Amino acid sequence: MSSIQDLTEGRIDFAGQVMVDNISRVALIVSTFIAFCIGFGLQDIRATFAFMAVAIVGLAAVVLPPWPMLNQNPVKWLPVKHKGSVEKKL
Amino acid sequence: MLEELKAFKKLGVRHILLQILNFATVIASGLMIWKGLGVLTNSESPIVVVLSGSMEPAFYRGDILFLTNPSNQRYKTGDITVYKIPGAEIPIVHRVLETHDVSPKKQASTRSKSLVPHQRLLTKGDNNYVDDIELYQGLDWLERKHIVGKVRGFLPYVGYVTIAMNDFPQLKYALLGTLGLLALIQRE
Amino acid sequence: MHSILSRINNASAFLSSCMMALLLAISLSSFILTESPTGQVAISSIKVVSSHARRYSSKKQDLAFVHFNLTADLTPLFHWNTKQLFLYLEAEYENSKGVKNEVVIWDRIVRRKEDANIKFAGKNSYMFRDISTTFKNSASANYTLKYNIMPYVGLLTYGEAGKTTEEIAFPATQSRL
Repeated sequence: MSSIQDLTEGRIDFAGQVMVDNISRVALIVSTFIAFCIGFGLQDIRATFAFMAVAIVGLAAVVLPPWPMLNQNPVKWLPVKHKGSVEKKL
Repeated sequence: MLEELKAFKKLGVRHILLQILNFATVIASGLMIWKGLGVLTNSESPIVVVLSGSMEPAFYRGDILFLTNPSNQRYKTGDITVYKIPGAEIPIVHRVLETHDVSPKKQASTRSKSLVPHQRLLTKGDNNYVDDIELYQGLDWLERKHIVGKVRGFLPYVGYVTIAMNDFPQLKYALLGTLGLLALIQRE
Repeated sequence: MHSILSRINNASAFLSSCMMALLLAISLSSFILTESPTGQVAISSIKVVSSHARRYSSKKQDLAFVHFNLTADLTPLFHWNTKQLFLYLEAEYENSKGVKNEVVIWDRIVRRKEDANIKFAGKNSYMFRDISTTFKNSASANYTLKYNIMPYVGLLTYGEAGKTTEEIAFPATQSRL
């Protein structure tokens, strides 16, 4: 059960989350703008939505899977303190 | 299960009431916007989803139409109207083929001085071969009181979700099922 | 944003805002792309015949048969947000009882720019009859070629592509064609 969860969850670290947020926002705004310009320039509304579809698929490939790039800053937890025992160093 | 109940108790009555209040606010504001739009456009349902193919290739099933029904404007030929005949269940989206403005002289004595022009209309679907007389359920002409509004704006495909839910009830259960599955395999 | 689902959720929420903005921009762009087309309407002949027809089939009523020539160049109306044109010829007249009438007697759907150069000669495709069953003493009629631009997204717009230069009177009723 937990392996399925790991597979579907695709956990990334906090720095990765910030990066994903920034990438998706900038990419969506820019690609929307470009899509409009392409369609308007070619006078073809299909070109607009084809470009949007490609952009969305590309963005999904970059942002959704838990790429190693998004997991470069794992949270450093404090070591577990055992009562009575000597503190071990990590 | 018991622990969940305990956690629920810990939240307290206030929190639950707040949740209910939030929920009610969402519903009330939705209704308010809908009714407000209705007042602004003078139409009983200012946004409709196309249900039939009789206006193809202009409108396909699932397209969303925005309507207005300005009370002091007359309808012209070529306008696309949404009308509802008393006794018929669903409103129909068709184009006006003929308008006949019955002279206001006769009205003034018999009718109250309303701004609504007195018109007789005949409509036809772009994709139909004949006009709509058969659809009027015995009426000879369409009148203003039957008309819900005229189509002003258009958004394709967006309303198809509602139609798909109606056409394929399995889809509803599939959707609910996947939602439930997601809730199960997701960690807290 | 930690899991795939929450990333999908966040990104698609922002995507829908972007899509709304894009659709709005597309629908607004059709306002700066509008141009007025040119066209001519010429009526070659009108006959009015007394006959039985579907409506009031018990009584005899007048049917008008209008032959006309249309030429119009509607290609400027086709831009990226034009799904189709609905083109129609409308007769406008006032009958003997003072009722103002507008009747569509012919229409055509134009879906491609290549088909937008209209040359048509023929007669009315819809039955043309008066609400009072007779055209007797009706005022002369104007014939106007109108169009309705139906966009992929946005507002429907209407316009006029051509008009008869003068009003045309209805002839006397014949008993047979």
